[in-house]
Amino acid sequence: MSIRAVRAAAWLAVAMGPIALGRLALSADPRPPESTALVRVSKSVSAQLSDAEPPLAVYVVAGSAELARSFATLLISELAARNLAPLAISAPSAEAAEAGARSRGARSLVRLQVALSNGVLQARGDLISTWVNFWSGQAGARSGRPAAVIYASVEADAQVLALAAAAATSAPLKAGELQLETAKLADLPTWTGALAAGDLNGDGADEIVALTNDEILAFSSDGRLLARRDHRGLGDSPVPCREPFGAISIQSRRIAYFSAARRKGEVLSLDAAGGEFRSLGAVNEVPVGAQGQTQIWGSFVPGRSAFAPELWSAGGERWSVPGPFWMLSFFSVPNGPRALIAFADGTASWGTGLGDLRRRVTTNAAAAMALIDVDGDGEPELVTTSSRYRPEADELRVLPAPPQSSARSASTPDGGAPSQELWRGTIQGGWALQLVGARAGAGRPDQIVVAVWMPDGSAQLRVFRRVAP
Amino acid sequence: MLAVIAASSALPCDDSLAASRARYGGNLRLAIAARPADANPSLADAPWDAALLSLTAKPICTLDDGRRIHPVLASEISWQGAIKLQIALRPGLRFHDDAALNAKEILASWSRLSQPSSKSPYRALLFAARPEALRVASAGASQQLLEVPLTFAWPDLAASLCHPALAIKAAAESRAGIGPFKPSSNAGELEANLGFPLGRPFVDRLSVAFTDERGAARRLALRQAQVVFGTAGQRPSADSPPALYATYLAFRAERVGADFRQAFDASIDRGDLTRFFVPAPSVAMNALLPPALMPQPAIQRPPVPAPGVRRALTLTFDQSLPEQRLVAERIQVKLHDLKYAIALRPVPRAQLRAAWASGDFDLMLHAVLLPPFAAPALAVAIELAGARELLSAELPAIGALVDAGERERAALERARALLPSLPLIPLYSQAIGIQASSEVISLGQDGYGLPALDDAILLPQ
Repeated sequence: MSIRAVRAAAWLAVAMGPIALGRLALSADPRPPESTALVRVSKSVSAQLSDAEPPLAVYVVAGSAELARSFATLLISELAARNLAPLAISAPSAEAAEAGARSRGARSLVRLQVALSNGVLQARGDLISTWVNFWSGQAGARSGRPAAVIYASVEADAQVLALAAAAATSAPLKAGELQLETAKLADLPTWTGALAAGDLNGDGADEIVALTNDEILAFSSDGRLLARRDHRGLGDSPVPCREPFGAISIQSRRIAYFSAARRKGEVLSLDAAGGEFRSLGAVNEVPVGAQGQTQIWGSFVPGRSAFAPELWSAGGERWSVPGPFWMLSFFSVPNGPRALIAFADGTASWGTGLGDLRRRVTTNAAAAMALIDVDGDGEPELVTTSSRYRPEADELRVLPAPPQSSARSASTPDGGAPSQELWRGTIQGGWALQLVGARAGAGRPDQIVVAVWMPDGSAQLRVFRRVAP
Repeated sequence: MLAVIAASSALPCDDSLAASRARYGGNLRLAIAARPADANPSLADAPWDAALLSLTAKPICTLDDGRRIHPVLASEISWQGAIKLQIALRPGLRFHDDAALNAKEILASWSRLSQPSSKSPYRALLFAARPEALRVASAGASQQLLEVPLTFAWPDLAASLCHPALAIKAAAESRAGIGPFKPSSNAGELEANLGFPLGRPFVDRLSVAFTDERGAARRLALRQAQVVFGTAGQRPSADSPPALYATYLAFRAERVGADFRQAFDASIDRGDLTRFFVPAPSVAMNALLPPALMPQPAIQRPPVPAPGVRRALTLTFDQSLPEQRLVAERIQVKLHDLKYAIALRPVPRAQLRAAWASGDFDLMLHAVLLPPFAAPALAVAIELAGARELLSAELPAIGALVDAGERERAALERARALLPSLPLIPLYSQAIGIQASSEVISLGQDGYGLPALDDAILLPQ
């Protein structure tokens, strides 16, 4: 896959000739599918149960009570539409469910386990008849009525992931205690240059904003497209970048962004009701990030996918980090800020702020790194993708971040150094060059949103979230 | 900071590739097993020449390896109905000497293909356009629109404009076009063009050395070159670049006699040419278009015609292509017994094209870089055969087909039907032979099978 393929989709219609007139349509629609993963699985399961004898008892277990309840609700609705007289059964085990169903007068029972695994929502189980021949006595022999194995699976979505999510924990996690699951959030027509999360509508959950070479798009936390805006009107950069690259910063519901393909950036607000962005004006500086309430501005290294080391704030503060860099991540905790920076030479550093970022603390950094509170304990974890260039299979890793004291004291030998990573998983299909943490709501750990560059030039937003083990 | 160092120990490290983003920088050393090409894009059409020239002079668009169009000097290429193509030029484009590019220079570049002094077979790519009606329209203060009216529907025109022979250069010979690199003050060196509309290349500089095939291989072995063009490579396979540099034996029927084609087919096995004389990657051509564009029929070897009167003929070929000399000698030897006394005449490519344009030849080995689409490739082949009058009879019916697949099928059908009547014998087609050292990654290719050195990344040593 070459860089050229990034621009392919937008120009495909030119190759098609006169049948494609005027400006060319984007090849991928970022809208989520009409039916959710839970609805699709419940429809598939109900179709497999169409021959069951009513009344049909439904017993569902899942790692999360919310997921089990939601699925059972949808499935019972589907079964009712098929006149199977469904009824929900609660029981401590699948075996006990059989007796429960019989006592409630059900003639058949479906026992299902719903699970989320590697981005796939699965429902599996069996259908049995609850009728027992009276003359078999204590043996309780089953009847000869039809039984079936039930299985259905679909790609998980953000709704399923939210239902399966675990609650926040207060104790520090140990290796093996963290379990993340993933789901697709949205498809994008071309590779992304920047990604950000912030609460744009005041509901306490972060919306996701993605920047491509042509557009800026906002998505709800469940992957619905809220607004999109073509930013080609901002003019072509005189020194564009070969890869999509840029910056987005969200503060006080305002989105500042700057694509390296454009001559200038822009500040937007989201009119969620109207489904559109509203421009608040152009900017000539690159919104690299926000340290607390301070917006950090910078510039691009001309022609390269990197930010220049000189940074400044609107208040006149100036900083100079040790070299051009790919990303800058801030995290605020009560006892002081944390900052993580990945330099454009493949090294990374960590500190308590912009003035405390030294060079080459680690020599195998990734472009996609961030400080995210994955377990919800109020302290950040270090989340990173592979440090390799376009690996065959990219991966997401969660590492315990060193405590703030060790960041201040570089020579602290026992500064709480983590001995091993907390979690590692595969990112399917492409390469992740951007990731951010997104708040999922009060009492919930933050979720990790990753922008994946697909080999065909499109992109995909995936969300990783902690689930109950 | 020791804590962070310890944290990083959990990260798998690959020192050679410890960067998830592309690395910028470095001096890429390129060796080409050929002589320096002509500055005229229509004459720099051998794959290695076109690959090098395209680094400093791009057409208005390029084709990727999936044959998709990417506007380069244009910001938008759109159809305004079936017979008008509109091209919006990117505003602010400048040559490396800071002269501005405008629509008039694009028209001038295209019209050079049709001038008597530089008439080229690639003018067939623009056959559907009406040159007298090409118009420059202004779209605001900074942007220029170029309107290309057509005499008939020709949907493949947009892709045809991406041919390397249509690279845009200013009238002044000293001025390069606009590409990912620009000439450096050091001889034999190109430097990254920061203002290239698709972004600067990943490497900072490109050093180019011209040598022979043995010299190129030695440079690669001694690490004096990291990429080599023009060395013998693998035979084309499904994964290799398309072999679109097609070589034909053009002949003047009135000079060679009526049974020349039969004598050629009876005496010369095209498979032998690629087995023994033309370096890989190359494939024999039995059809008017190469295997990358159409299936090749089996040749039924006709009986050897009875030797007629002795004919003294001259075979003109391109002296910059060593394989053409070997093929010419083969033809000379094999046809000698059939009373064709063939004298060999190696000439520079510009002189060869001039002889072709004036019809001043008996036999001619003539190679062209065909587009990766059957319909425009057929147009170039017909033009190469000197049968320009056929273009107005053949192309409108093909262009009237809206579906691209149907156009391909129709073009191939006409290619099969026309071959016996054209004074043209297809011989073989070639792709560029490339070797690269392990420190070069992401060396892609475009729709013509030409290497995209602007995509190459040089790993740190």
